[in-house]
Amino acid sequence: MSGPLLEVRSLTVSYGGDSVAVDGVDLVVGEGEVCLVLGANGAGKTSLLRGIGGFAASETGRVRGGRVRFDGADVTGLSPRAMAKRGLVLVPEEAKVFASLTVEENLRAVPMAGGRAARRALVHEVTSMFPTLAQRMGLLAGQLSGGERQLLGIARSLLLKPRLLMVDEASLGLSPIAVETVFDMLRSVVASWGTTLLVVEQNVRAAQSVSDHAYVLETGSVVLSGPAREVLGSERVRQTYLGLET
Amino acid sequence: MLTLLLGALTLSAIYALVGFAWVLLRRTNGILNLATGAQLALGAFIFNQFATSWGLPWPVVVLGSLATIAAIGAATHWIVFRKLAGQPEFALVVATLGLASALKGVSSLTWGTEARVMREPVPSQVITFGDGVSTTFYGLCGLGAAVLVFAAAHTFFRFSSVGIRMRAAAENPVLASQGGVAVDWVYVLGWAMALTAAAVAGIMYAYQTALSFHGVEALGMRGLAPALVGGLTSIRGVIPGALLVGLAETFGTKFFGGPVQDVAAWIVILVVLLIRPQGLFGDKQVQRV
Amino acid sequence: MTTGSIDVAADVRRRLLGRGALLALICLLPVVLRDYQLSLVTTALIAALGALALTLVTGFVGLVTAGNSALLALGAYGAAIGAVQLELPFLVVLAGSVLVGAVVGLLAGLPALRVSGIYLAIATLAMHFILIFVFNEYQTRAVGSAGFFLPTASIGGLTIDTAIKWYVVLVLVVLATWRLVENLKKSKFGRAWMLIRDTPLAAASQGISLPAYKLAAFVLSSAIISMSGTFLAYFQQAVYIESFTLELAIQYIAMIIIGGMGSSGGAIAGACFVVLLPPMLSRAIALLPSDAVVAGFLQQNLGDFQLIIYGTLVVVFLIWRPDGLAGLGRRLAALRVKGAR
Repeated sequence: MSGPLLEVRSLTVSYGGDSVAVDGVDLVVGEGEVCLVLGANGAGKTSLLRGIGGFAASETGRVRGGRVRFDGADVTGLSPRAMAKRGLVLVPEEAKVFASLTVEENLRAVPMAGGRAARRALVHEVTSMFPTLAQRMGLLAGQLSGGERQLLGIARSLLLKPRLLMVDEASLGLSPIAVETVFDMLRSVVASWGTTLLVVEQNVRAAQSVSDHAYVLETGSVVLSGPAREVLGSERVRQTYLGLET
Repeated sequence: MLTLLLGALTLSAIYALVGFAWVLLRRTNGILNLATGAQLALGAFIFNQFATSWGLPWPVVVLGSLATIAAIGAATHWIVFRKLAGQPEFALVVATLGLASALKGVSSLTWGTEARVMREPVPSQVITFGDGVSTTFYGLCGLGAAVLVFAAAHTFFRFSSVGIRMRAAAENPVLASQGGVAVDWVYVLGWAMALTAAAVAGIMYAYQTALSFHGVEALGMRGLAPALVGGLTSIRGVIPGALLVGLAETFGTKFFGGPVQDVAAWIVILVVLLIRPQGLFGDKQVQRV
Repeated sequence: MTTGSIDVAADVRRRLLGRGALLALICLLPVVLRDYQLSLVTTALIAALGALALTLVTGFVGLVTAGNSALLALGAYGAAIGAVQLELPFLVVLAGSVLVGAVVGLLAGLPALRVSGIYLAIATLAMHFILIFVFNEYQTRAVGSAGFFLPTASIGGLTIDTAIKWYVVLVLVVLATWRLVENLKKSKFGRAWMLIRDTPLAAASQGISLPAYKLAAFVLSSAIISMSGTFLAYFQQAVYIESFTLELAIQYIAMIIIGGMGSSGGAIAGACFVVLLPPMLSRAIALLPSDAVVAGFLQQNLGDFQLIIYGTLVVVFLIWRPDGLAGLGRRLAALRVKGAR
């Protein structure tokens, strides 16, 4: 094992035109770590995750500069599918489930690796981690609550056996109880699967309990980074992200 | 009267197959395929090449021609539409028009434009039930083919993993790709399935009338009507749509004369656009921007 | 004129130079070309009217219409009815066809554009098949399959009966239409149209009524295409249904794709290319040894090759050069400027 699991160097992302959404970001996540990216709306958090996880050809977003290395290999600009196959999996912020498919079909839509027995075992393992979903297998995903959708999104991505799971705004629009459930789930994924996590959040309270390392993003650039405890304890973060809540 | 209704039903079966092709591409690949007519004609002529010109044994004819047509569908995605990914919707529609023109030229160059009679597996005959209600053998074949295709499609999209992945990619291709689905292969499959269904319709229609490029191409274009009535993206909606168009065309021709056949479907389209553009049986609201 | 900066002066000089060259070309063509060749150019100019109209609706707004051929037929049959059946003067017929084109455009566009842009393709397709059906029935009943023969056009006692007269008339009409399209492009309408094409959500959030603006573009373009159909009918002095196919509609789309979507100069260039390609191909084939089997085959199937060439060019340009010949020209010019420095 040489070097960190994910290494991002001066990554620049743009959606056409001259303006850039992510401007020369450096970011490193070690194997088994939980990394938190903080930032206000429009700071470029989602674009950062998309830049790492890859854009589809049909999208306007592109990586304009910099490098993404995953597990020692250069993966810059690969398609989302290629990233997912390598174990770099993203749970996006909006539309994380297929609303017109049932819960069961959402899970079946994931092409899993391995033989039939291995696949069945994996589905069993994942569904047993999500008892609420197990009760709603026949329901359309569009009829689920926000928290249940988040769980289904995470369950779907676990079927891909991710080595690095990127979760975009896991707590957005959820009730405090639902937020707790989602982060409990993430914690247990880290604990039992050894998955590395890269989480984008505005809700610092929810995220601080799981994080080892933190980055603060403003207008597309990293303005602060370090061990989570230090970053979250800094004056800047306390004022901007915790000030309103305390 | 009952004979007429039965005629409308067998015609509807053909329309259901063509409508299926329109809807499948619109829904899965996100393309309003104005080349459907030309592609349907191409499919029918390829079948005729295997069946009549080469006179091959029937199993070879069926498998060989359908495989060729599916391969052409797959190539359509790899060569043309994969390269247009990310272009605005209207550019895709314009590309289908360009394709329609080119395919028509190729077909006319290869097979000419005059009508042909296809080699038949069994002689065409009129089948009569009880009180003088009659239809043709090939009319019933068309009906059978439509039932078969729709039942197969239903099973495929409901129960097979590939079918479920196709539905997922149709709803949100980016999310599907993030979830490890090979979206390009979904599109390839969409083209192959749509062209095959269209070709089956063209072959059945040619057996009931005659094989002429103009005739089957026009049929392929008119198949937009059942698709639109059904809401353009609903496969189930195609069935009532096809019945409506089949009835309109049969009775329009009966009361106003033969040439009405060419326009009945288009009048249905105008009326639907006027009163309910999102389709009479559609299952989703059309976006308004 | 501003001469504040050198760039502006250079720009003005280049513009004047371009206009001078264009004027020289317009004056030179009738001198050097024979009547038959000049008629070909006139046909290209009539096509350019349609291409300019399509630039409005497809180039600026990003809508697809398959109704070009039907609208041409509308203008042509309008001319046949006006000139032959009603014996109206040329200018009255012309004005009538503009009006009828606008009304038909409104009727076809109104229901479709309430929903979304893509529905215009469907509505115009329906319009194509229904109008062609109606004109076919009308022609069969009125005169039979040979079609209509039109009298010579005349404007206030001046008959337009020679190739050069037609050339002059159409040069003027095309220049006026070009001017109209360019002015619209720079106007409030043009800016709104292009905003609708590029970012419909942004346009809607600025309070632009998408259906109304889309409809305006389509109605105007329908009126112009109908007018060009009337010119075509009088110019050829014949109208028959077989010439108005769906492939003709695709040819017009090919003009603006090849020329470069959204560029009016490109539309005219594309029209010239599409109209002049068949006679040029014909000439090229004639240069082959006449006993060659290939030459005979090519000559006999010229129509099919046209379909293949236009269709393929549309797809190829969409994939490789969405900005068409106009974009290619701009690129070359930029290279030259760079080289000169």
